[in-house]
Amino acid sequence: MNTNGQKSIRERLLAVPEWRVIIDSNPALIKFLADDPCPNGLLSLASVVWDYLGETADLWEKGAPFVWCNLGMSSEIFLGFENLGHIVVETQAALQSILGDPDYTHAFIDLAETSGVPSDCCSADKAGIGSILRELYPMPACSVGINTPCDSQVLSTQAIAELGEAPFFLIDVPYYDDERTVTYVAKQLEELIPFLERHTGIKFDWDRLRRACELSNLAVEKIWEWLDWRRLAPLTQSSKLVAFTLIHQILFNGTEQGVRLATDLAEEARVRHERGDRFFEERVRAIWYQDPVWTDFQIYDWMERELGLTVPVDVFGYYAQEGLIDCSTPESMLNGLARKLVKCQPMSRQFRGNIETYITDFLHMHEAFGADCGIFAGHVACKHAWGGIGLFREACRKAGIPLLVFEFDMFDARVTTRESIEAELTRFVNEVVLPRKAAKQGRLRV
Amino acid sequence: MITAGIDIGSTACKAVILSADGNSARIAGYSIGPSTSNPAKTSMDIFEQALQKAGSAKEDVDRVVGTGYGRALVSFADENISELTCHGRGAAFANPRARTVLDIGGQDTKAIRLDDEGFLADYSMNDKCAAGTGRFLEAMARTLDLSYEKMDELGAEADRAAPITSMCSVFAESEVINLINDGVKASAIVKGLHESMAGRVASLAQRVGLEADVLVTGGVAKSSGVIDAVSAKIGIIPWVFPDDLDPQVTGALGAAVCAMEQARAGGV
Repeated sequence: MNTNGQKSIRERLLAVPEWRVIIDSNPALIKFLADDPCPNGLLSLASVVWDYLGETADLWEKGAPFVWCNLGMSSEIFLGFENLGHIVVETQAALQSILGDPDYTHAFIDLAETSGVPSDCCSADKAGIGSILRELYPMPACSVGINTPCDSQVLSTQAIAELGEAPFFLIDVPYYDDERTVTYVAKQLEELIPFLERHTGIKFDWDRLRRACELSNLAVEKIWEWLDWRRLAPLTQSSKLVAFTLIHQILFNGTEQGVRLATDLAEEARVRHERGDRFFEERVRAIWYQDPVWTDFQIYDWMERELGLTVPVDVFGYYAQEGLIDCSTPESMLNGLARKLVKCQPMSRQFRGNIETYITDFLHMHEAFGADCGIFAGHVACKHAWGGIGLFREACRKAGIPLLVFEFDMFDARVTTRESIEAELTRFVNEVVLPRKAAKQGRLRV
Repeated sequence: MITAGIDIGSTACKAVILSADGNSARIAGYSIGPSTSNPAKTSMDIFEQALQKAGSAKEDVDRVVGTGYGRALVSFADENISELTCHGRGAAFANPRARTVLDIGGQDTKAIRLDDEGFLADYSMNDKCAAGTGRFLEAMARTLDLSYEKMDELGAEADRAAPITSMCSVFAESEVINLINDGVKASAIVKGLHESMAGRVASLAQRVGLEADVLVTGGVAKSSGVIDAVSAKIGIIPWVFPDDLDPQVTGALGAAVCAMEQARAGGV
């Protein structure tokens, strides 16, 4: 109870099953991870998520204003405002998949569909909208929408604008990713600042933004360092960790927690490599392109254990070289943030605009990480990726890269069962990749 | 060295006996029979028939590999290998220039791309519905009350194809009945069915990237009407199997080839 005899936000959150399952997951996760062969990265994730939940609850408790946004937005600019909470509306879906109960994500999806969202829309948007309809977030003082990482996000932004019942600011990112686009987006970020000041009543602090950008840069450098360790074969760190960079992206850009998580991941990779720790025999390494299996992260453990299949990097884990922000002036920071939004944020970089970026990044990752093959885990509603699948297949054919293509839904396990995904992976690894690899090494072909 | 491959499919069981001498190998005999509710017994019966044709005895066989949906039930096999690999290996054995294999089986249809060394480079499967499979053709033959041979004859005579727009076998059957009731000639319906199947197969083929030589394998490969329609759709004339090799045994042949390679390597 608070001083007015009302239930505190924490007590109220614990009474909401969707929040309770996430809050309760922390001690359970720590206990569960005690047996995990590779726990430090996961423990760090649990720890920073715990901090995030605590800070959000504190802000909510003291009546701080909140801003809603969708997952293409990067959080640094919000951190330029003291005591401003920001909610990425896909947070519940992501946290339910990693820490909570994916059945809640399914319920969000169903709720969105019964409320009129077409069933063939992206489940990330549907889950985000469902969680808004379930009234799981503090109502916003205002909202910010951005049309990245994909066109489908337009649906989320419309829902935020309508259901948030608050002033709404839209950031428009054009199709092309040239400098003109960067300047155009930076200009919109500049206009966003007075909008947020006006509707939150908080004065923007450029020094706070500078600090957030510096932390963001530190985290990006640590992620690059982490990926450098993960390039080395054999992979000594769990494949599933790479999928968590989406959480880093949507919740922790520009925060101490973001730096801590990136540092812990890099450090764990370094230590495990230097010690030669291995808990699986790497037989095949794949670039996992498109979405991770959010509904069931244990499938990565299965892949390693049963197939010797590792994923050193995926489309979410890949941080391009445009990730650093020049912190020298306000203009350079806004430009850096715009450049990061357009050219670096995983998925925003690849799924918005020209398919060539998507293909070029894959080919680069394939070479840089010494992969044996590619796995296109095709999120059913992703028209960007499916729209370019023919060109992607052709590029892989020309490069001699075996490519597995299968359909699933990253947030809805009801679309493709785990057994089906396992069968696809098993067939591909055992019948296409391993025989070719064995032949190259002069061993028996069957 | 003698090896055997047994392919238990959904509608037929196939066995191939391969005889190898040094680096060369030849098909010594093969046999095909219908699948039954007792795959273990059927596979043994077909194996024995193939051995008889090859003039060999069971004890002469160095290694046996099973493949197909029922491969786990080939109790006398030394190993089971999936039909994808076996069809690829069988096609490469039949024609070393094979780069695309279109296997139209009873239960599924596969498009397989082979690399220059005969390895699987890519594949695409239709294993979730009967569209474009032998089962589809079987259902339509039943509806039209025609044999496969008669369907081929009629299809060749047709001056036009009645388009069959339904992909689903169940709906396609209704569509065929409607066409019959509308008085459309059987020849046009048959040609439409062949084109419908070919469209499905061509779509799979395009996913893996078509490259000559193209081999059409599986039981449906014996339908000249389907082969002609596939050829027209993909714009490539498929390689013609020699008279002494039935395209339906390609999977079993591949299994026998795998068995031979394993036996040469000392039995893996």
